[in-house]
Amino acid sequence: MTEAFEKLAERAEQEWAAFARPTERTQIAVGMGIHGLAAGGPDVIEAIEAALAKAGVEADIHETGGLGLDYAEVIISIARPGGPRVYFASVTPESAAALVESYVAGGSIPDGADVLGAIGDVEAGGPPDLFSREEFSLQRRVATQNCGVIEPDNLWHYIANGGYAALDKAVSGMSPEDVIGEIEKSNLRGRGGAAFPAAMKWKFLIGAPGPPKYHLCNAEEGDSGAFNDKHLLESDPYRVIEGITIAGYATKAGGGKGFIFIRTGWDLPIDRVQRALDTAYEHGLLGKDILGTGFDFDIEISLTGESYVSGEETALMEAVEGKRAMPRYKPPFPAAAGLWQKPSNINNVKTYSYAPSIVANGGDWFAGIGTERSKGTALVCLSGRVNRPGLYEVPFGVTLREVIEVLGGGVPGGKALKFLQTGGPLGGFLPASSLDMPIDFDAMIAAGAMFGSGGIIVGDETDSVIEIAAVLGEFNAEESCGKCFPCRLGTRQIANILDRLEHKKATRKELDTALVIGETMKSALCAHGHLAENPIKSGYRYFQDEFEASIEEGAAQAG
Amino acid sequence: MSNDKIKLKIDGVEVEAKPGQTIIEAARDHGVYIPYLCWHPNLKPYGACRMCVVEIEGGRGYPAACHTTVGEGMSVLTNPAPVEEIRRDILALTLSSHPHGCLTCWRIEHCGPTDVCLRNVSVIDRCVVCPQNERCELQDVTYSVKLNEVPLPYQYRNLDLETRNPFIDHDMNLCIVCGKCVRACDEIEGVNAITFEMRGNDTIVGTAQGGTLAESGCTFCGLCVDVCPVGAITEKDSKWAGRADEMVTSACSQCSVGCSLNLNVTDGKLIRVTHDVDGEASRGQECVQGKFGYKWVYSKQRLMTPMVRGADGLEAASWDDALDAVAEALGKYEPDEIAFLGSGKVTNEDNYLLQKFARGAVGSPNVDFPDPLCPPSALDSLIDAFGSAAATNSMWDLHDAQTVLIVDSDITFEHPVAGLQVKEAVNRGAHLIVIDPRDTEIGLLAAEKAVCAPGSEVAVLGAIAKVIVDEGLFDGEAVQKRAMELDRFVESLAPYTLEAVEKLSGVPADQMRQAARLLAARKPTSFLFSPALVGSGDLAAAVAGLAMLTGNVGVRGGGVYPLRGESNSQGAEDMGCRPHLLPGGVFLEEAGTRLRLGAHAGRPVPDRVGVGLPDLPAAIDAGKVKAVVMIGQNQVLPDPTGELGRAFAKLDFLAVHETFLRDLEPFVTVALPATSFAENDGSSTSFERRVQRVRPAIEPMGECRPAWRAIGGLAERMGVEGFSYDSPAEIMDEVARVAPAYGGVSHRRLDDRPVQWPCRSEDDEGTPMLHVSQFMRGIGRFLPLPPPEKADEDGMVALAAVVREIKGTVELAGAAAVEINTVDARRLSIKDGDAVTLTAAMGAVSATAHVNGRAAPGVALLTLPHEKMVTNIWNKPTPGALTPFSRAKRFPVEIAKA
Repeated sequence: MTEAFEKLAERAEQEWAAFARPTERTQIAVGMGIHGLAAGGPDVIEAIEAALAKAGVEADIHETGGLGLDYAEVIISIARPGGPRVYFASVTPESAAALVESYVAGGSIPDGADVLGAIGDVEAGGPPDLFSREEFSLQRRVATQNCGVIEPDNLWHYIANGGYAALDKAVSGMSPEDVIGEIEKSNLRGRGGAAFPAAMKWKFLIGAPGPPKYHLCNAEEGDSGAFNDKHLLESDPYRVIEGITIAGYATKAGGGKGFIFIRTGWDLPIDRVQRALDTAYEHGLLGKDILGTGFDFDIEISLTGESYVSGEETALMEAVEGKRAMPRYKPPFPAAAGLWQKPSNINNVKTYSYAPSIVANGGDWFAGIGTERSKGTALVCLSGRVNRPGLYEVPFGVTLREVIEVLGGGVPGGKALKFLQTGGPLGGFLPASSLDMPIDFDAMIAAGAMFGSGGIIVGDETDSVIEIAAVLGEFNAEESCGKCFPCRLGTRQIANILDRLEHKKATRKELDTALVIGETMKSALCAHGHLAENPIKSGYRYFQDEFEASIEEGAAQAG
Repeated sequence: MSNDKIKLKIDGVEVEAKPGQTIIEAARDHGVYIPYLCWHPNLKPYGACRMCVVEIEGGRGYPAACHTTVGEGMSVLTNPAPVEEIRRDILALTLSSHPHGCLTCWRIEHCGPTDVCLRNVSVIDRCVVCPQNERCELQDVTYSVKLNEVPLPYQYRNLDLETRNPFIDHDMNLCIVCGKCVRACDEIEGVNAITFEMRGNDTIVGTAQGGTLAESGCTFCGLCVDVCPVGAITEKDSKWAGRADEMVTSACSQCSVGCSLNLNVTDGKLIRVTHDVDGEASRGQECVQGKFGYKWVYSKQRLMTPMVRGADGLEAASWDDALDAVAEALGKYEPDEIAFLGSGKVTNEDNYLLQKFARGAVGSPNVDFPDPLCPPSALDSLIDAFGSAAATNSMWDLHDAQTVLIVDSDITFEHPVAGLQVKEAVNRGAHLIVIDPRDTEIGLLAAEKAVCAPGSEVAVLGAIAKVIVDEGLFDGEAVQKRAMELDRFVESLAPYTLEAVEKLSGVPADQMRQAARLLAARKPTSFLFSPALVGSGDLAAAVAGLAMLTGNVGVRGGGVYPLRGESNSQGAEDMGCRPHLLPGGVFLEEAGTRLRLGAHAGRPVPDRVGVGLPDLPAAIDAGKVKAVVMIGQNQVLPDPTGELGRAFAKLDFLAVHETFLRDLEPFVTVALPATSFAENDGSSTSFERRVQRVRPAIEPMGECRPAWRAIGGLAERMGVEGFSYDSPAEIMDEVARVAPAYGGVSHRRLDDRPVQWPCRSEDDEGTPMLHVSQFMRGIGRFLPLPPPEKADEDGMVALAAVVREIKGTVELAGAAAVEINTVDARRLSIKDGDAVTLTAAMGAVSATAHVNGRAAPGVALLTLPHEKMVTNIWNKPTPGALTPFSRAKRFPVEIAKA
C-alpha cells in the first residue's frame, strides 16, 4: 500500500463512519439518481428540511444514487445515532414529513411507512435486512455495490467501501502485464454490446507506441430502455474513474489521457463525474504522479451531441475530435489509429467499472461468477410491462424468467407476457417461449436477439409487436448517421414499411423488400446498419401471424 | 524483405501493386473497373457507398475495395455473384432517392437526345433533364451493375435550389450524399465551406448555417463541382454544355503555380475547365481562377484583327499590312532605340523567340518582361545570392516543413493552390510565421503573426536574423562552408536591434525574438515571399540571408520560394527576357550561351546590358528609347513605378501583340491580335521550375495568331533568317540546344510528363530541389542589408490589391472598398460604411470604408475590382491612369469623407 493511499483510507474510515454509523446526528440520505429525481426527490428534500425545522431536530441530509429499485423511488434512508440505516420506499413530501416527525424525532416508524429494509446493525424485531428482499435475491452486486448506499461524489465514502484499493494495489505492486493478466483470467467481455474480450483489447494497446495513448470510456448510451451506464455514473462515478485509471496503467498509457464520453444534456451524470474528477485530482488520484508512484494519467469529460451513432467507437472518436459523429472504416482499429490517429482503447462504462473489483479480488474470483463463456454479472435494465421496473445486477446464467418474475415481480394485472425486446433498438424480439433462456451473450445472439447493453423491455398480450418494431425502426432510421448508403437509405425504407405495416397498408411485396434490405444492410459500414434489421426480422420470425394479419387486413380494406 | 512490390491476383490475373495501395487503386492501375460512388483518387478512403465491395478468397464477408489494402498473395474477385447482388441492392436503394426513370426505362436504347418523352418517364425522374447527363458516375455504375428495375418508390426531396453566387449551383434533389464535395472542401481545400446537414436519410450537403456559399467562406475553387459524381453541384455557366468531346490537359495561365487543368472542348469550343486528377503540378487541386477564369477567351472585346494607326486612329488591317508596318518602323530606329517586352502570360517559346528577335534580328539589348505581383528586378538579388531566382524546392516539399515563413503574400488569394500546401503543412504540425502589413487570411493559421508597418518587412527580417546571430542559434561553421560574406551580412545587421525595429515596424520585440527562436529550433523552414509591396531587392536578400543562416537551403521541407505573379514569369526569365540574362537564366557575360544564341540567330547577339523595365520610363523620357514592341497579355501595364504609362505617351512607335487593347489603345501604333492560353501551343514554367505543356484546346479565334508566328513574319520581312519554325516544338528543341538548364526539355518529353529544370539531357530526371550539395553559383553569397529606415512618410499608406479579373469574383467583391483602422477612422471622422475618396499622386478613387481591425494604424487596405480600377474608378487626367498600380502596391494616400 502506498503511503499516500494509507492516509486517504484513514480519513475515509472516519468520514464513512460519521455517515453510516452516526453517533450524534441523524443522517438522512435521499436517493437522487435520475429516477429519484423524476419521482420528486427535490420536493422530498425540501419537505424534510421544513419538517426538521418545524420539529426542531438537527440532522444531515445527503444525496445518494439509486438502489436500482426504480419502481420504489423516492427512496430515502435514515440512520439515527446508534441505529441501523433504514430505507423507506415511495416517499412523498407528505410521508417524508411524517417520517421526520415520528422516526427522526421520535424513533418510531409511522404507520403506513413503506419500509424496504435496513443495513448496518439490523435490530431484531426491527426492519429486516434490505438485501434479503426478493428484489435482491438473485442479484450479485459487483459494479452496483455502492449504488444507493454511498454519496456518489464523496471520495471518502467510495474509499471506505473498498474504492481505490485496486488502483493502489496495481500501481504499488503489480506490473501492467500483471494487471492485464488478471483481466484476462477474469474473462471480462466488453459490455457495450459486442462482448469483445477486454483483455485482448488492452493487450493491443499495451504494445502500441505512446505517449500519447488514449482511453475512451463510452457513456453515450443513447438507447431507449437502457440506463445502466447513467446509473453507474450518477450513483458511483469513482468506480468508473478508477477503472479507467487502472486500464491506463495496465496498458502503459501513462502520460496519456482518458475521456469519458457523455451525451450532452445528461446533467446529472455529467455534474457528478465532473465533481468526482475534480476531487480525484485534488487528492492525487489523477494527474501527475498518481499516489506518489510516478504514474501520470489524466481524465476529462467529452460531451457529444445527441446522436445514437456517436456511441459507435470510431464515430465516438470523430465526435471527441470535434467532427460530425460518423463511423470510420476499420481497419485500422483504434489500438493502431484511434483518437487523433493515436493508439486508443474504447470500453463501455460497465466494462471499466469491473476493473477495480477484478484487480482487488483477482481474475479467478470474477471468472467464478456467470456462465461458461459469459463471466461476471449482467446489469439488466428492466422496463415495460413489469411490476418492478429497475436496474438489477445478476450473474450471467440467471434466466430471463427469473429476472422478470422474481426480480421484476411479473407482468401487472395478471396479463400474459407476450414478448421481450432486448438489447436496445438494434436488438430483437424474443417470444414468451424463450423465457427460460439464460442471460448469456452467445445464447441470446443465437436466438436472434442480443443482450447488448442490457435493456429488457417486456410486452404483454395487449401490446403489438409491429407497433413496437415501427417505433424502433423509426429510431434506427432517425439515428442513422447518414454516411454509408445501405444504412442511410435502408433504415428509412424499413421504417417506412414498418409504418405501413402498422397502419395496415403494406403489401407482401413490401414486407419481402424490407427483409431483403435487411440483408443488404449487412454491407453497411458499422453495426448500426448491420443490426438495424433486427426489430423487423426477429419480429417477423417470432410473430409472423401478426405481420400476415396486417397484410391481409390491408388487402381486404383495399380490395 | 522486398517491400517495393506486392503480388496479388485480381480476377485470377496476377498483378503487382505498391505496398499500402488499396484494392481499388491496384485494380484501376491494371484497368479493372470496380464500381464506386464515394471514392475519388485525390481523396482519402471513405467507405460510404459500399459499391466497391469485393470478395477476397478465403476471407470473411465482402470488404470494400476502397479501404482494404492489398496483401501479398491475396486473391481478389471483383465481381462474384454475391457481390453483384449486394451492389444491385445498394444501387436500388440509392436510386430510391435519385431520379432514375431514364436509367431503367426500356426505351433508353431508342431514346435520342432530341426525342420528347411523352409518358414513359415523369419529368422530375428523367436523366435527360439533368446537367450531368452522360457524364454521370451514377449512370456508369448503373450500367455496369446492370440494374433493370428499382423495386422501391422514388422519393423526390423537394429541396430548393441554391444559386445565390456567381459560379456554382446546388440542386440537392440530385445529391447521392457520397460526401466527395464535403471531403474535397475539407481535405484538399481546408475551407470547410460545405458540410453535411441533418442525419439519417435526411442527410444532405449544405452550408453550416444555411447561408450562401460566400457567407460560408467558400473560395469557389470549384473542386466540389469536379468531384460531384451526379448533377447536384454544377458550374452555373456551363452546366448545360454537356459531356466534352475532348479533354485537353494544359498548364493554367492564371498564376505562377501553373496547375495542370483539363480544358473541356465540345465542337471546337472551350466549354469548361476541370481539374486534372493525376497532374503532377497540382495533384487534382485547383482554384477559382483556373476553374472559372477562362471565359474571357470568348470576350467580345477581344482584339480579333490586326490594327494599324492611320489618320483617324486605329484601323483594321491585314496581317501582311500590319507586319509590314512593324518591320518598316523597326528599320527606322537604331537597335538601342527599340525596347522589347516579353510576358509572363505567354509561352516559353514565344518569350524565347522575342528575345532572340530583339537580340539577334534587331540587335537590341533592351529586353525585359513585367510581372505585377513580383517585379522580376526585385528578385535579381536572389540571383546574386544563390545563382538563380527560381524557387529552390517543389511546392509539395512544403508538406515536410516544420516551420513556414511567409512575407507579404496574401497567398490564399494570390497563389491559392500554393496556399493549400501551406495549410497542409500547418495541418501536419508546422508552425507558421507571417510577416505582412496586412492581416492576411493565411495569418489566421500563424503561430506568430507580425503585422508590420508597410515597408518595414526587411527590418523585421533583419531583426530576426540579428537575434539568431546574437543568441548563437546558428551553426557558423556549417554556414560558412556553403556561403561567403557572412561577416558582411552580420555587420550590416548591427543597427537592426529589436528596439529600433520595434519602433519602426510596430512589431513587438518579443514577437520577433520568438519568431527567431522558432526558426532556429524548428527545422526545416520554408520561406515564401512576394517582393511587390517592398519593391526593392532587399527583401529577397534578407530572405536569402535568413535561409542560409538557418541552414534551410538545399533541404527537403526547407527552401526559398519567391512567389512570382504570372503563370510563366519564371519561363520568361528562363528564356532570357531580361536585360542582363540569357536563355537558361545565365548572365550575359556567359559567352557559351551567347555564342549559341547568336549562332541560331545567324548573327552575334549584343553583350551589353540593355534597358530594363524599371529604367524604361526614364529612357523614353530621355529619347533614348523611341519604339517598344510588346507581346503577351500585358494590357494593364504592371509598372512598379507607375511611370510607364505616362512615358508610353511619348513613344514614337508602339507595337503590341495583344488579346485586349483597352487603355493601351491611345498609344498603340500597330496592334496584332494574339491567341489566348486556350489557343496557344508551347510550354510554360511554374514558379517551382516545373516545365509543362501548354496545349491548344481550340482553333485561334478570328485572325489571332500566336506570337511565334508574328515574330517569324516580322523576321521574314526584315530579311532575317533563323526565325521560321513549323511548330513551337521546334523552338523548344532550339532552346534545349542554347540553354543548358533546358538541355533535356522537349515537347515530346513534356507530353509524357512535366519536368523541373535544370534538366540537362534527355536522361536527366530533372531537379526537384536546387542547391543541394552546392549552390548553382558554386557558393552562396550573403548580401548586406541597408540600414533600417522608416519606409514611408507620415500619413496614410495605401496597400492596394486587385481582385483578379474573373466575372464572378468582381461581382462578389462588389464596389471598391477600403479598410481602415478604428484609430484612423476616429481621427478622420469616418464611420463604417461611409463613402470616402482616396487621393494619391496618380489619381483619386471613391470607395466604401470598412472600419475594422484588419488594417494597422496608418494603413488603408484597398480592394479594387480590376476592371473598375482601370476603366471606371480612377479619374484619368493623365495617361498615368494606365498604370495606377501593380496588382499589389504600396503608395501614400489621403483619405477623406466623400
